[in-house]
Amino acid sequence: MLTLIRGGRVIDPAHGRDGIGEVWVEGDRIIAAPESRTPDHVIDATGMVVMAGAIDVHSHIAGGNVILSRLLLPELHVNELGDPNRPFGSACGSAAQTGRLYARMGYTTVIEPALPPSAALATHLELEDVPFIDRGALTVMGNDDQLLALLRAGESRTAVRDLTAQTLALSRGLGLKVINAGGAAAFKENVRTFDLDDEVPSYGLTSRRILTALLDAHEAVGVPHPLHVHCNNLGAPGAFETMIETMRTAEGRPIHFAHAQFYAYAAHTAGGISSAAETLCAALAAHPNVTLDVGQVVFGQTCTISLDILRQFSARGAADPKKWIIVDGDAEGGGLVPFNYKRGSVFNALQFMIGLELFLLSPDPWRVLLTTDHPNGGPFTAYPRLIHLLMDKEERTRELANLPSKAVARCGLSAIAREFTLAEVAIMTRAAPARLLGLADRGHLAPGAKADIAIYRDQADRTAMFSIAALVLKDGETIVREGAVAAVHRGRTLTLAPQADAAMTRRTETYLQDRFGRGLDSFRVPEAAFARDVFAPQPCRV
Amino acid sequence: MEALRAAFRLAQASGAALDGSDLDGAYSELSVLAASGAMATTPAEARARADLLLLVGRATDHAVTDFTCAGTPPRQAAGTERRVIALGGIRAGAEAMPAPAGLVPTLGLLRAALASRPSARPEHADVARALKGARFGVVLYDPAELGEMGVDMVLGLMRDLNATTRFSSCALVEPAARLVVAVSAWTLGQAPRSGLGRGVPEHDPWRFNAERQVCSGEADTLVWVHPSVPPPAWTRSLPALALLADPRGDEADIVVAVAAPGRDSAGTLWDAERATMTFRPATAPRTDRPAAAVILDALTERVTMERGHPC
Repeated sequence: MLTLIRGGRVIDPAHGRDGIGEVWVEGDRIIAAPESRTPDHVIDATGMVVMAGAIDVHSHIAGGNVILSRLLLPELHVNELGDPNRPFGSACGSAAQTGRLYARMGYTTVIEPALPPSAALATHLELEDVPFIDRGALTVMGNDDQLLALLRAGESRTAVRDLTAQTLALSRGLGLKVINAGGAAAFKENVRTFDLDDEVPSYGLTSRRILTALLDAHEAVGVPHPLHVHCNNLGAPGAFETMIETMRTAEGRPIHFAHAQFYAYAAHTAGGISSAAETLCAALAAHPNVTLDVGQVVFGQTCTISLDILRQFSARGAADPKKWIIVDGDAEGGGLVPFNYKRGSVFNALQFMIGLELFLLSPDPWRVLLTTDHPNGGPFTAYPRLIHLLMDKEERTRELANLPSKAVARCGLSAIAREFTLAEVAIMTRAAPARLLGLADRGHLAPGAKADIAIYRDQADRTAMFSIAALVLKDGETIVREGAVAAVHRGRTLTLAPQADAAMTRRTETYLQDRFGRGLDSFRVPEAAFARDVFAPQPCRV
Repeated sequence: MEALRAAFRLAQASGAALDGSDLDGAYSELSVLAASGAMATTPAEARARADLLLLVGRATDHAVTDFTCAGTPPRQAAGTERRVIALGGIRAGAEAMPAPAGLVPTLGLLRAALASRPSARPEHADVARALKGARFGVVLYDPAELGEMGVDMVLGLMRDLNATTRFSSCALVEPAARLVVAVSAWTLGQAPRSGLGRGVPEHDPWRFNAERQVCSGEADTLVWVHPSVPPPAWTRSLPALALLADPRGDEADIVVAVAAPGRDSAGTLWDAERATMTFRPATAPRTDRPAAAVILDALTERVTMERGHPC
């Protein structure tokens, strides 16, 4: 079917396009305006904004820890109202609801940032049940015994590369992530704080050494998305220094920092924290190889989920309600600590303001992406409100009026006049995430791109505008109309398929048999485990 | 996995309640988890790392314990010897620790000994010292045996010990129960024992306990989906359909022979030792048995046709 979207303001920063224009769709792709063909279907987008489908690079939507969060806080997912026609889709906290809520905001691709190789099949099966959107997941390394033992033995970069390639292929990751490199392994040996140059006791490896090895391996494998890094010292006063030192450690190699807000804290002389956003943004400007997502905090109840078990254990005292889970897994495991971010709390208010400050002081919207680190900073459904705050200084002023003055004084946010444009919003939520993930077929509206398109009514109330898209097309099919489901779409899971080295495969088989009493077959994510053709392999960099 | 997903679809179409076939142990654990949380590890991690294993009650004689105790732990802290203590049971190679007062009170007394409370008993001093001195200890227990109070005691012990050292726990829960809890959590946002009669999932472990619903007369039909386990006696009081891999034929009013996943056909199952899902090819493939999912989806189609599609 040939579809024409016309009359709308087309915003496609990847191609410098911002103006009233047309977008043509045929099948699942955007095409160039055809000569002398009549569209089968015309969408009148007059008074609307047309953008590519949005992309979330860091949102915990599946996996064993997400399951545990539902079981830890069943009271958060009580169903009182729902759509009886779609009981799973309206079930609070279900995979189906996740897909539906993303789709109605105009999101069409979401990345789960914590794929433990030992539980990859379970994570992918859950991802398969998230409808409407395409998904991907980042394979986690950096605390696993096989890698650490290999580094301890002083094996070659080639060996580390081969293990990395094999782990990525086996787990079907789209990218590589490291979470507090060595921190979980150290915690299992009763280490309670772990900095960049601290050693994992029985391996004699520093966090920096593990990180550097993974940066090398990542580059050698040719993973398109930069190494996705969750630094040491998350949430600690002075953590910004750890992040800046980690930037230096990358030595110009591409590196992405996850949920940077949780590190943008300076120790305040009177106790507590103050904002280090300005310093962090200056460091960002000085390191063009660096990107980050913010991990914005929003007020309300949530459950933090992290594979950084050392950090989560230390945060257990702040659990609200007073319950928490720590899982010492086969590598990282997981830590779940419920938080209730309160407006009246100086610390929480500062977290909220520091996140916004990072966006607004950012030297480059292509390198600072919108996330709440769902659900750690708050739910992804807060994105429309956050976009509103970034686009509207007056709205920010109203918001700050309700926050503790002590917090406002420790952060520069109130003095910032910058307002994001719609083009900058499109960069931050579409073009930049696509570029960062190496997904050339999305995040833009040029011919050849996937027909993932979001159309919004242009309203001064940006919260309303971005909460409910007027129309969302996924692979050319209308899936959302005025925020309601128009058609259930089964997205695909994006993966890399790097070549595994045969010798490393044999070594790993032996290792796994010794360690788990199971071989590689037990860890595989075979296509036969899925009811349909779910995976969409993406190329590595050559 | 596919049978579970199909069972959820049938429940959605028919407004049924969903329960697991063997959830008593899982529920003892889940109730405590939802009340106060947990500290847990995998049997594989315990096998690789634990320098002390405390086996409680029935855990002394369990296949997962055999796996955990096997071999030399490759990740055990340097300079430590693995010590295995069997609380309230006997196991070859393990030190026996009697529990004449019962398992749960003895666990409580161990906590008292750790905290040097007046109620502490001198005979527990050695084990308490061992627990405190462990570098990475693990308690293995069966939550069905200990009940909620006992699980709470185990997890309280974990919190006490982790103030100064590292300790974790492994609950020995039926693999099928683990699988259904996981799929239910992502499909309904809640654990099983959920009802779909009102159009949205409602979770209530008491109300949607299948045995209670059947025995009280609230339920009028039962579908049993557990190929390797026949339905229990309480299911015989109402019309029932059972999908079984090796049926006798008299287990329910209607019995359908289906493929056993991992034996007759490939399937995704729960690996109790790795504590996650795994794909198992068929060990003795046969094509004359339908997959349970096929039967369930046929029922869903028929129910939907007779009830009419929703508006």
